[in-house]
Amino acid sequence: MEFASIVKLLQEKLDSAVSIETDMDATPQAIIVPAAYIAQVCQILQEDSSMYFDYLACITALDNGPEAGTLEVIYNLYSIPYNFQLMIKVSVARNKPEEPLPSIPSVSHLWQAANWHEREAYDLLGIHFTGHPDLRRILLPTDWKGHPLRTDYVGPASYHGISTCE
Amino acid sequence: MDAISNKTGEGGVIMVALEDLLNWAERSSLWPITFGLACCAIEMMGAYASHYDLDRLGVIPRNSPRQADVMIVSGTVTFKMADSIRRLYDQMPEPRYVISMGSCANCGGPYWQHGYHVVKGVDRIIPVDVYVPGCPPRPEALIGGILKLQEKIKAKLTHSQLQ
Amino acid sequence: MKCYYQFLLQNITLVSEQTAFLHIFLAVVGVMLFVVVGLRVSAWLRPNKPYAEKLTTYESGVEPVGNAWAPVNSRLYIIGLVFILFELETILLFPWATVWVSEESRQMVGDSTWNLYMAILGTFFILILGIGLIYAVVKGRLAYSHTAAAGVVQSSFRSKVPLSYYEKINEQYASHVPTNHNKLD
Repeated sequence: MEFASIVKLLQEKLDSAVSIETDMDATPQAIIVPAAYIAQVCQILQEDSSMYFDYLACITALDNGPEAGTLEVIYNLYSIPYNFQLMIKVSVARNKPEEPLPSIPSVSHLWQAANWHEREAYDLLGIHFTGHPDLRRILLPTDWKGHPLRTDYVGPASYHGISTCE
Repeated sequence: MDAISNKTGEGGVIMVALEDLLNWAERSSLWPITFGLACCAIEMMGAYASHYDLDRLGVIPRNSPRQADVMIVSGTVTFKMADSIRRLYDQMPEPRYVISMGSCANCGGPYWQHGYHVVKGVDRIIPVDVYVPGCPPRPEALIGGILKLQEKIKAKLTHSQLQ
Repeated sequence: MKCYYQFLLQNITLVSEQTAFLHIFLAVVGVMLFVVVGLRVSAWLRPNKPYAEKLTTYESGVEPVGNAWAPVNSRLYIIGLVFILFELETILLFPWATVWVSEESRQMVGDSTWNLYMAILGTFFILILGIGLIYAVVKGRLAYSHTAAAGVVQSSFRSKVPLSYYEKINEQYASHVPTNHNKLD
């Protein structure tokens, strides 16, 4: 199995309106998918018999800062039958303070591992995953305000009466 | 052992004040709640195990705060854990003591500057009697901390006795 | 007081059944005193400073949720009941054996009659209870290990990858010998 054949197969199976870009410098090589189609793409990758990506190794989210104005979610997939690694990058627009959180379709119905990884991305970066069965904070306390790993995060002065400053 | 010198002849009788007797009993049988939070807990387990052996000091770990005398806070205290620590401390019966073990419990440790989720020192939540520095402190350091607490109890300088 | 104790001590070797009751009574009173004195003295010595948070129910540091009562498997009750019955049977067999051997009853009735009577009595007793035990075992009242098997949950996950693909990988690594990291060998 090769990276180019994966891209070709995906392009065939999806609508022509959807364009799959690639990032050949990434390790492993990455495909860049529009946010609305991520669940579809992941389903094709998991079910197609020439690819069989049955193992979701990691979902990572990152913040590119207020100037760039985007948040990214990175999926690391691995195919056990074919011994092949793939990275998927998805980019969403950053929300302004009063707007609702940016949304991406969840892939937790395909891989159970996505359940907690998406909860972590929601908890620390404030990315909402539509269709997730149980989207709530996983690391921070349930009544914490804000998403700490955003670059413009400012913490509260105290929590439950305990001062947070140094 | 201080009171043995009062023994005279055979079948000696030791005369002590009741307070001294009770303090001796307390400090010779400090029972901690097993309260390991992070890496310091591994060193605490090492201190409990046979090489450094806390049992010879009378220290037996208990699962319930109702049966414990001392809380050894070993590890990073997060805001999520802070409620539990306060509640467990409240559920311990007097006389109760607290040993803060390790950098994170003393002052927030390596997370003091950027740790948004870390309480900068457990003494923001509960009153502490002895601080044991280290990251993590060696089992000998923890034993030193327990001996220091024993000295404090002997000299009646702990929080519960000052109240 | 002292002469009473001496009197008691002297009479310990001549104790008849009546004074044994007195000794047991004194032991019971002594135990009750020991417990009560112990509780009272420690209540007097210890600090007592209750407040609302201290009196909350312990649940590993979180707010207690729900009722602490849990349903108990009724099999355990049946097993306890059957145990009590057979323990009483065992206890009753001891006086039966003692009376069989005792001198007074033999002299009244004669050796062979007495032996036959006691033997039939004992067998009858054990037989009735034995029938009860066989009934309980046959009906499965004493077995509780198979409930563990009933609790096994079948996973509903069905993989999209056919098993043959994984078997291919297993064959590939079947002859794999793990590397020996132990440099002493």
